[in-house]
Amino acid sequence: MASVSVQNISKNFGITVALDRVSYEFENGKFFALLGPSGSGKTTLLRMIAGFESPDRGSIQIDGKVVDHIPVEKRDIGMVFQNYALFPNMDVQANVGFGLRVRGISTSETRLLVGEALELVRLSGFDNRRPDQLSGGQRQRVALARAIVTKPRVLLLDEPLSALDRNLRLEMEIELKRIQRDVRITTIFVTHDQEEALTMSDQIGILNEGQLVQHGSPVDIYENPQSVFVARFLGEANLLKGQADGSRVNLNVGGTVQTRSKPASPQVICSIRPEKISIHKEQDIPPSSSNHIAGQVNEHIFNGTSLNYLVQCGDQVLRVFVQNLSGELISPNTQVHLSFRPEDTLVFPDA
Amino acid sequence: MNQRAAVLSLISPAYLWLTLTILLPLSAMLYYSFLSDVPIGSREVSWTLENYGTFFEKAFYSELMLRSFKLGAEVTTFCLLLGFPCALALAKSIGGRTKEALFLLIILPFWSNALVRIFSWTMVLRGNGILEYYINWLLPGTGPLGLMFTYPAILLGLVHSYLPYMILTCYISIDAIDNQLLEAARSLGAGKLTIFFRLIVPLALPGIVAGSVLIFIPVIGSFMEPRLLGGRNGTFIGTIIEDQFTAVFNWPLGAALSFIMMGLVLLVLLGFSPLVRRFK
Ligand SMILES: Nc1ncnc2c1ncn2[C@@H]1O[C@H](COP(=O)(O)OP(=O)(O)OP(=O)(O)O)[C@@H](O)[C@H]1O
Ligand SMILES: [Mg+2]
Repeated sequence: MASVSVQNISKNFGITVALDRVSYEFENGKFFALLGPSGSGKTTLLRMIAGFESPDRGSIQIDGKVVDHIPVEKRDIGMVFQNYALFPNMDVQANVGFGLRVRGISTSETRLLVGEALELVRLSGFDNRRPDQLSGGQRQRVALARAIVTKPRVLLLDEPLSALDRNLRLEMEIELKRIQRDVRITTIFVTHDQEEALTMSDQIGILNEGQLVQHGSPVDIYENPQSVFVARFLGEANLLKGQADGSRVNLNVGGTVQTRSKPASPQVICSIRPEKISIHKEQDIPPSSSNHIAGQVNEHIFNGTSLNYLVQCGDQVLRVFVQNLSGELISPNTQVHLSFRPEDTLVFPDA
Repeated sequence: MNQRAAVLSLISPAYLWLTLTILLPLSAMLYYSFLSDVPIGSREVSWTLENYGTFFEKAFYSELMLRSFKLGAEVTTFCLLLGFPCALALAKSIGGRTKEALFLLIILPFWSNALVRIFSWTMVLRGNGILEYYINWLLPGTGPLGLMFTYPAILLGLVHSYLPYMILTCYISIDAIDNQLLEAARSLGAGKLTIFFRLIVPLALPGIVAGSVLIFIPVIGSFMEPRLLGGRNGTFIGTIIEDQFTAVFNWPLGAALSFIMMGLVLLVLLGFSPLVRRFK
């Protein structure tokens, strides 16, 4: 277990900027998710921490020691690959024991440690299976056991669950989190699944076009996105353009709203999460302290626990999620008011 | 049922062709190997096991057979030692244009006639030949090398002829190894040697075996290289068999020796097969 410190890292592949001055401290024992769209540099950053790529500029430290000139095999890391990368010529026992044998640990102790690791991933009794005799989820568990059995300082995972079907993925998310908590290993997890990042991690870093655009706890990033990109990338957001008018914003879809912070430029975009909006029939009077805009229900989607509405406001369609408290649906074509609190109305400059 | 018909129609042309071109001549040879003489004109011919008996009676033949197997093993080993690293570099380290150019160079020998290739070696190796000339020019006073008509000369010619097979078969199986496996091994702390012996060699074994078989078998029966490059030292079972057909005109003995050789090769291959299966 160790902390990882990434300092001002840049990397270009030809003319492609893969990473652009990324700095971050991965704290000891925590679970980090690196989130970002395809091509944003997540894999590059992970491979750099592992040592498979070297930064053009900047430096990486593990446990306070610069590792820039230490090759992968000496960095004492554990890595889980997207396609598992199990050795096809070895059985489960030999796969998991590989890192121990390389370290010169005795056969009897290797057997003991492999047994423990397999127990941890709930695969006891699979010792003599070949990788091609395992299901996808089982392979992933073997890969995980193989990565942690050497007690590495850092565990690096590159979209380890993306090849699994949804149910298995949810199950593995819970398992992975449990195992991480058990062994308290500093874990960096690359994903482009925002739900995965939110549910599993202590800290999330969001990458876009090679830059670390925001980092923080899942709640912090979700509630306080610092850009339209982050608001839209993590969770859902209704984005409404408008003009600043003192401390208020005149929305293009009609209506004037109070925002959380004072607009910083004349042209702005307001972002409101669908679940922060409440929906009222026209005759109901919304609370006066809230922002409200008028619209018409286009469609409703009932999915048991919640009701999702698509509401036409001017030329835009807004999404509204409400909890199913009353079991009452507002039918399409009904005129409605949407109301939301000023502190839930985020405002960003319109670039 | 339908699928079986489809499979049958896919494989039958090739197998029909193989049957005609291999089995027919081979069965003719088998027939000859049991005859007492070549059945030409009005010669009296009878059935006999004598041709096979000759091999076991005269130590000369089994010594030659051993010599040929040794040659086969040595040529295969040299091809492997030279070819495998080359295939590894081509598959995992070199890319793009350079790789294409290097591949072209590897298959270049296939473009020239085998006989021409061997004769050009005689130019290089013979006394006062190209090699001797240059070495003496570089290091005056080295004197004659005396390479021509020796066992090393035969080795040189055969390794040259067969090296491309080893490179190509090994390249194909190394190229199929997922790079992520090698990265996974590194992340687990494995150094280059461990990765080479624990992953690359076992995973490339099918290519090594294919290349070895493709080289070992023809080298044992080879006669052109031993004859042209080996001269007096170039007597092997292959040259003896060739003599029976072209010079001595004892087809039955030539045929019998060929079948004994085939049988022994088969035994050797069977002996190695558990090794192959272990790594599968
Ligand atoms: N070896 C390489 N050679 C050239 N360009 C590369 C290389 N590796 C990555 N890139 C480029 O660097 C950028 C970042 O790639 P990276 O693989 O880190 O993205 P990612 O965030 O992992 O994306 P994904 O979610 O699709 O896996 C991309 O534009 C990619 O094309
Ligand atoms: Mg990636």
